[in-house]
Amino acid sequence: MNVIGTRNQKSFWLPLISGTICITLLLGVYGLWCLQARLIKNVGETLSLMASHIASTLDRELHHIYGDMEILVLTPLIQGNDLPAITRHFAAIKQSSPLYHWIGIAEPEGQILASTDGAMVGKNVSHLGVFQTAHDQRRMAIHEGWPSEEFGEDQIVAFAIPPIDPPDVLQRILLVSISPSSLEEVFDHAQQSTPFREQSHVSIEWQLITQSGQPLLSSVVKKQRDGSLPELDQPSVQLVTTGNQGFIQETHPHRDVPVLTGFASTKGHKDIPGSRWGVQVSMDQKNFLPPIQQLSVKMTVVGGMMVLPLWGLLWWTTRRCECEKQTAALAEAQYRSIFEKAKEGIFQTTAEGQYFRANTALASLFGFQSPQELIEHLTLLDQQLYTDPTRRTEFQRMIKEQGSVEGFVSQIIRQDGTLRWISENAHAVHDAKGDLLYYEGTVEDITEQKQTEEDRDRFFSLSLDILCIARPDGFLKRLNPVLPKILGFTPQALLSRPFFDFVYPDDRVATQAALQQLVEGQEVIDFENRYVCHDGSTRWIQWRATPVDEAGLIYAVARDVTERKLAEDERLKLMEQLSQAQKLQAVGSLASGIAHDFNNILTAIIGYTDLARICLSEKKSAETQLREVLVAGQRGRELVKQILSFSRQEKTDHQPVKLQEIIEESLTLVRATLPPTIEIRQHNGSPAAIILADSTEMYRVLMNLCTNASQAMADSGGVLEVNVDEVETISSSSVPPSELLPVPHIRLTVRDTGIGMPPGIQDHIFDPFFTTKNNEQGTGLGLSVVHGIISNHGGTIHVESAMGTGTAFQIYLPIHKGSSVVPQSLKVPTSKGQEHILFIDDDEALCHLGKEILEHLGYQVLTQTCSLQALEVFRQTPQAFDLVMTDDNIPAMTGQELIGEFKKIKADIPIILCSGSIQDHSEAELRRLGIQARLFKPIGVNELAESIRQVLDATLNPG
Amino acid sequence: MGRILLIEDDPQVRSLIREVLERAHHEVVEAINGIEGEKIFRSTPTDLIVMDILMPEKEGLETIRNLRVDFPHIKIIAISGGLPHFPIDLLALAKKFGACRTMLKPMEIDALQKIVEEEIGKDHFSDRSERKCTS
Repeated sequence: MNVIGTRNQKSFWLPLISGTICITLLLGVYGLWCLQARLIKNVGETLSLMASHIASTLDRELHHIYGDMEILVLTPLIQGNDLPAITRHFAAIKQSSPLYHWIGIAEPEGQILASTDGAMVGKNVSHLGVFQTAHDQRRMAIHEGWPSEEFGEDQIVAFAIPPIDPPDVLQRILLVSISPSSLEEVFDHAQQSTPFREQSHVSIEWQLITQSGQPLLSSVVKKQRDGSLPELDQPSVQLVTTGNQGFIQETHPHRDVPVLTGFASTKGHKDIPGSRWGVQVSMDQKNFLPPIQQLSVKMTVVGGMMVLPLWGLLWWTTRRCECEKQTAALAEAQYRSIFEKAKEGIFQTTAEGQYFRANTALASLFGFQSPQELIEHLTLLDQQLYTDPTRRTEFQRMIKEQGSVEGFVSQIIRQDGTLRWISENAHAVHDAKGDLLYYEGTVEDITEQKQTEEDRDRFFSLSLDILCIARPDGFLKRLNPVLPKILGFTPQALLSRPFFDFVYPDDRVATQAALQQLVEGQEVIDFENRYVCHDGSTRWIQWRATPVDEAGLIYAVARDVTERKLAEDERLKLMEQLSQAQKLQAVGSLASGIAHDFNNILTAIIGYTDLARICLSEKKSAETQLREVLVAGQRGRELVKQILSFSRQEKTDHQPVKLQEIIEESLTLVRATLPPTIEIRQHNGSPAAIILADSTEMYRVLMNLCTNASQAMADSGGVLEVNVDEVETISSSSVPPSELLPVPHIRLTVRDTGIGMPPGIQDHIFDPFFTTKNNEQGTGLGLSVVHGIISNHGGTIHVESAMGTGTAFQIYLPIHKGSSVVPQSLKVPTSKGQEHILFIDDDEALCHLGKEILEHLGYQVLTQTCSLQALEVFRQTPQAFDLVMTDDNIPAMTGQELIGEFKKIKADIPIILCSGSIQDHSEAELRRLGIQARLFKPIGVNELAESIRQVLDATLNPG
Repeated sequence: MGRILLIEDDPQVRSLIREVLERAHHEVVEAINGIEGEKIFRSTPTDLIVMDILMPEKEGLETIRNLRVDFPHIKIIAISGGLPHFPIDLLALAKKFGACRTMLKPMEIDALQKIVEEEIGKDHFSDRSERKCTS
């Protein structure tokens, strides 16, 4: 509003200045006009005086002539005939006035008898009007106009006077010619006496006009061809011929310019009609008016130059003012609209608490129908509005001290008696002197907010969990009663010190890190630390907190998890104990398993030894019993080997291999051993999948699982399925093991349709020495070895079985992203031969398999399942064999013993020992025993072929 | 001289016991596990059963229990090589289940022979308390 006021003042000054300039200009113009009128008057009067002066001069001269004439006509001389005397007399008279041109006397007939100008004598002037008038009317007459050419161009015959003596006899007529040049002299002389004489640029024109209006002499108009002057039609001519004197502004008859003409008439002679001449003196107005006109023009131009911009400015300012007025009006309308439509209440009150302005929102908030009703009814705020009357006093005190209040919260009573909470923002408005005029501000209904706050506070207090607001500097800003209750400190104590002081010293570093995490904008979830209670005990607190917000605050919830932690510790202890117990149980199982097997072996040894003793005491052969003792001893040794093998499950070198190729290879071996009642079905959903594995160990796994499956179906036959597919662990519900890494896995399933396992057995199948087989079928270490291998490969094995339906082993192995290395066993066997080989293995199926493979490689093969029989065959025809391949674990005789026997028969027979388990034989020991090569089961075809070829070649070419 | 059913999964032990018993002129019928043994006994009951406890397919305890239900007077000698007290005392259990005698492997053949003779020689109809194991 102040801005608009300033603009109004500007707009006031502009018209004032321009008005003043205009008035000044008008006054100037008026002054100029007056000055010009005055000048015209002065000049006119001067010209008039000049004309009058000329007229007077003419009158005086002419009257002199008139007198001379009147006297002369009475002179008898002129009546006589002495013409020379007359001429002399006339000459004398002529000397008396410069106006005389010539003086002459004519006969009544008109012939000039005598004259001062001899040239005129004898001329007849009877045709002249003046002569005729004088002749006819016997009185003095004056010629108006120029005489004829016969009197000369520059001569004028002014008048003729008839001498009358006797009165009725006209004897002669006196003629007087007045010199025009003499008249001009009069004018010139008169001009010399005027104020203009020194102004060279001022030209004054004059005219002598006859009473009839004919010009006699003129500097204005030029003579016509006949020597006469043209008639004039000027107002001044009209005026002067009527005998007036004065001046007049008129137009120049020829040049068409404004002139100022002074005029006066001669008095003339009373007896001579037409003797009253008019004198005109003219001056161009430009001779005296230009300075004033120029001044006037200059003033107009300057004034215009001054006024026009001012007018422009005035116009612009006016327009702008209009715009501003419109803007102001619009703004006013907008403000009014805001005022009226605002959701907040807006008010102005007197210092005493009387509303004098309020909007609809305020009226509505206070429960009135309209602002007017509010203003009328609400006269004492402290009494009528506030539930606590002191709030008004407080409000006034705060405004007085601070100049304004913000968020001043109070409870009010509405007109209908209901209570509301309001928040006021207000300030005092003062006048220029600083005196308080009124208060103005806004009112907001915060009842719901207040209710929400109350709800929040109530929940804050009621919460079973710790709720608190903290600052990054480590101080708690607000907290509910839970933490004080847990720790036994007062809230004030907890708020007055950094909360680190209460944190258990060992946990402070972690707490500081968690706080730093919050400061860096990361959420803290389930952070746990210990707090020291007032009584010195510690409590575990679990925290969840939001990062530091814009206001620099951290909101945290927490709970006392001490009981849970204790329970957890207890659980861990129990778990540990359980684990320990399970370990012990496992050791116990192992020991029990070993003991069981060993006791069987010892039973055989002791029993057969006893029997042998009995036989010997009866003088009978004890060989059979002793052999049994030996076999039992060998069983014991084998058992020890297997235990050692189990205990040496080491992580081997894993290479990327295609699982499918291992499967193919294994199934080739398995297929050869299976009875025809068992069908093999194979499906690979991920044939290109590569795993990081030791291919030999994977063969072992597959062989073991397939053997188990085939044994489960040995009686009834069935289907052996080997399936491979790819699974996404975690996401797949079909993947039970939770210990797998979240990467894609290969699932190898070996399923049989055999007898299945009861749940109690399933839980123990991977335990060492757990077996459902009789001793002829295995030791019970197989699945535990499988389990160990799969674990070493980062995988897991799972079994599903149902009685009568079958069993499925599922092996999960992580997929390797990369290319595979072809397992050595899969190289196309190129090493072949035709040599004779004795192949010994107690397992008939393996014998059969070995025979097939070796014959496939081109060799001649004889297989033996019994070591003694094999030895016997060899003993009979040792030359028939080029090579002996023997299992090192054959009943009745170990492989090594057997080899020893072979060497006794044929020392250079090459031996390949096939071993089912790791043994402690060093290479040197093998050489000492005469073993050329040792192969570990299961043996790949290629490995077998290569090894045989190498051994045979080395034997044929020992160098 | 009696007819004895020998249930033992270990072939060598089975072979040994068979030889020992046959030397004492007993007739021996072999079975390699509880199922087979039970089957044989139910078809042709024998005078005595010498039975291992830890066997695949069907172990000894269950076999003893089953047979004891149907043949209350059955005479069973249980033998086992398992640890005597870990995880459970199998032989004690075997007694509770109804074995009249028990032997821990490895045993002396004389001792085995002796208790076999004792059990064979006992009256089939003597009361249960008399059949209580003495070993």
